[in-house]
Amino acid sequence: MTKPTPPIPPVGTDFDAETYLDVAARLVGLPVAEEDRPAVVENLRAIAAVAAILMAETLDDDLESASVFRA
Amino acid sequence: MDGTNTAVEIAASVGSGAVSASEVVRATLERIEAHSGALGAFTAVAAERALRRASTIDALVPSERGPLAGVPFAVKNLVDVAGLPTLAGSKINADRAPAARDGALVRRLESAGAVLVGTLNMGEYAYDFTGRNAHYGPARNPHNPDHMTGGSSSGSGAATGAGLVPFTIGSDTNGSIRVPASFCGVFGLKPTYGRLSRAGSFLFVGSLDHLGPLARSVADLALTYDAMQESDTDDPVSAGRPLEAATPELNRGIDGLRIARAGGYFMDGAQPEALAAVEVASRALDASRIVEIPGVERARAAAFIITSVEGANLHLERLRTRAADYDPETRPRFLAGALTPGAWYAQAQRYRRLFQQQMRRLFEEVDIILAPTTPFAAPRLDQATMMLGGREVPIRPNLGIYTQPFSFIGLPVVNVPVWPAGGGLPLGVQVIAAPWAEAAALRVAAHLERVGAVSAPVARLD
Repeated sequence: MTKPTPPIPPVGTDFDAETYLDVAARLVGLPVAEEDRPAVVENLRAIAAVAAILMAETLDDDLESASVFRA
Repeated sequence: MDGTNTAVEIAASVGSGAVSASEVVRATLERIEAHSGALGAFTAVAAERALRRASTIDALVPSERGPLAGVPFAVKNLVDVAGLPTLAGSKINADRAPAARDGALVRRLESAGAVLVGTLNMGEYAYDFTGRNAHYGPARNPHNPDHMTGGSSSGSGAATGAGLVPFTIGSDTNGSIRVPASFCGVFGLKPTYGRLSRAGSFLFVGSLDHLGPLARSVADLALTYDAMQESDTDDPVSAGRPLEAATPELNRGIDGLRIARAGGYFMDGAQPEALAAVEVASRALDASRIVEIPGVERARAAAFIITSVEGANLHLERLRTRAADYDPETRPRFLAGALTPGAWYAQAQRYRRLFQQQMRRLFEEVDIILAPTTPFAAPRLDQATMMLGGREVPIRPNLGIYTQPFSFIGLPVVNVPVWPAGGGLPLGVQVIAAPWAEAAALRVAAHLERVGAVSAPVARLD
């Protein structure tokens, strides 16, 4: 019997910023000094909090990115 | 005649030959020398260059001296000035080679007769709303030096408000022209995204960055803005618009403009004096209609994420190798931005399209929207929290809550300064127009100035 997939919590509500910082910094190749960790964690939480506001809306498929490029 | 005069007054005097550009520049340099240190406004004064340039102007027959004849100005130090490293408020950039040529707007302004006198303090890499800077010291509010200028165009706000120069150039990604204009009691114009060239400047967030003027009169904003309009292939987002001069429009008044006030989000979370400032402007314009702006909190969230991710990416290599050289107040924000998931960034750029579509529909019903610029007047420099709606809230994340949604979709906005009836520091009101309708926003600002609802007096300096 396969285990049921746990429900995915909404963005930013179940977020271990300390662990995320360690994993993502390694992935990106970005050293973060020990003394910077508390402030970086605080900022990651702030970004996740605003992401929760943004990601709560499902966007239509026809909404194209508004970043600008002119050929 | 010096930086306490308006650009219009100086240009008229030098353009008629009544005063020489050299006299204006010398007096301006003396005033900067006397006051800039205490205000932390300038990071470099280009005295020799300015005097040389003034002599060149004086050698021309007065009628050929240009629409900005002899008008001194200064630029936020993220704009290139030949011979100086482009600091962008940082210690790291001091190691850069001096700029080989002036930024596009400096060239445009000087070709119209203006005279660059120096570069201005700013928050590090423009990631700032306070005006604090760990490397060069804070810029100080000219109306009360114990208070913030706002940022990140902190020196631009201080120098303009103090009358060190009649106008300055700032940049605005999320509010960095409008917030210091609000706190320092001056007019500021953030034009439509893509209107003015950013070529030759050290960007912060390419998809949100704008350059624009701060000044002490609406006529000066229009005059300098008109002189800077030019399509520029060196700026990848320059929109290639024809010259749409605002100056000839200023005396048209407000007839035919449908003016409304932003409700909901823009009336919550502000101190009473910020709402009173909007009330002053609304009354003077007979604007009783209130409009709700849909999705504004998401717009702010999306701008926040785009800023975090693009800003951090620009600095990624420096964050790897020189993190300790960043300002302790900006470093953790850049580091966190570098680790932000791509899905959020992509959604933010798609949400930008949706918000743009919604605002376009709103601009079918109204021409101008009024909103507070900042939720409170300039806090003390060392202040970290503020009482808002009976709750103690941190200052820094609240400084841009009203400006960020509009720069997010590149709308033109004029900050107009309102002075509280009972005295105290000024508060700005945003006059927001549809894309490319800078002239309409400036007409409204000019009307408010004419009827005495808004003004930008030179600060009294000790």
